[in-house]
Amino acid sequence: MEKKDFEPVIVAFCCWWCAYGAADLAGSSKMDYPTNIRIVRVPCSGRVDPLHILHAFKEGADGVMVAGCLKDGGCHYIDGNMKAEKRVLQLKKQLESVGFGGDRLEIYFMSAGEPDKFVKAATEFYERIKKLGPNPLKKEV
Amino acid sequence: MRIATLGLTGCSGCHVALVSLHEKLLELLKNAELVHSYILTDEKEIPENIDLGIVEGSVRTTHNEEKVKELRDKTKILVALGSCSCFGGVQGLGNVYNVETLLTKVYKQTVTTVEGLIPTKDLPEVFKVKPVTEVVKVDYMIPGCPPEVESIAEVLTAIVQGKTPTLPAKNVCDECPRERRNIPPKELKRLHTGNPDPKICLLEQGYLCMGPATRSGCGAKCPKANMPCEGCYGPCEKAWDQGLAMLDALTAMMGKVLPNFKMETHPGMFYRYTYASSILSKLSKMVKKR
Repeated sequence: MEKKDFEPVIVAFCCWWCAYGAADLAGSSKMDYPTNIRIVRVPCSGRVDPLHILHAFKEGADGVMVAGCLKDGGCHYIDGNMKAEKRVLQLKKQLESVGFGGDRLEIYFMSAGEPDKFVKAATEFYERIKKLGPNPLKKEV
Repeated sequence: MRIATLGLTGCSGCHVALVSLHEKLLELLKNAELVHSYILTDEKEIPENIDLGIVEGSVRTTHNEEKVKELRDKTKILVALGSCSCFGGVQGLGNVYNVETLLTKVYKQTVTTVEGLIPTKDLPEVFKVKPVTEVVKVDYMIPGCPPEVESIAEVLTAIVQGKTPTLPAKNVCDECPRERRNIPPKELKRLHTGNPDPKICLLEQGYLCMGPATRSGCGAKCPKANMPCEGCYGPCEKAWDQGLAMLDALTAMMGKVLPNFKMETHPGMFYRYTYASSILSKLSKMVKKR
């Protein structure tokens, strides 16, 4: 695949209470963000298991973003987002160590009333993945 | 019923566990005949028409691969006995390095070697460790290092009687009698640095116990003997990767500890028995292939 034509597939795990709300609000206030983002709604970002993230990569996702509530007490379930952050940071190190690249995974924090933050995160992540190129495990179409 | 057993790359410990069935083995063999077993009978070639094949050890050489494929062709039911054949076993940790590095280390760079030579003549080719489950279709798995004698007896008796055997689906913590107080530990500890309290959960004391991510069936033997679980029974039913499941469990309970956790120890601690079949090792293999 030519790098120029490359359109990444990005899976975004968004928590129901904040990030999904932000994405929803971004849509209803007609803000633009890349269409490459596939949103998976989860009850809490703390629900996102390393197994879910690696399953997405195994099936050919070019990037995975996890989006949760704001830090320091923003989480609806007290500390789910902090657990998610620890998992993601540790998993980034692991992906780096096996040669896959830790940059393909990122975590963002936002509240339900910040659609601009979601749009910014989505655009920034999209540009990063576009620069990185396709997932080396991607099945040939 | 004709039974054959096969030993690949492994320590023969599972065969010893099989023989430790003692009187139960006699009961089992009442309706069955042992036609091929490399430590019990003098048969060199695998005979035809086998009803139950039991395979121990992982696939490390072309010879191993050939033998296990031959057994698969000749047998009706194939059982993977032990963690090596189910997940790759301890030797699967060798997959962190490539084969050339390992051979050079073993035959040339050990302290006592004066002039090393890697043997090549008339020998099967060595490749990275693969569990038997990845090479051929396996009907039943009995994990463990070695598997508990009771669970071997249970599964084999069920197969001989024509029933479907089942494995416990819960984790080791479920069988562990230690008390959990929901107090996260302040630091990670090594076993040689002190004596763990025999009544309180080992993870809460800071000892890395694989209990939360390991299939039960052993009766929590190690935690009962004041030793952290090493995870020899492999991942639980629905989790397909033991190390990631453990990472998930650890982040939930260990507040400040994890950022200091060093990556170098990761495969040895989280994947002691399952590295060869782990998703991380597969990712690195696939990335390097391209």
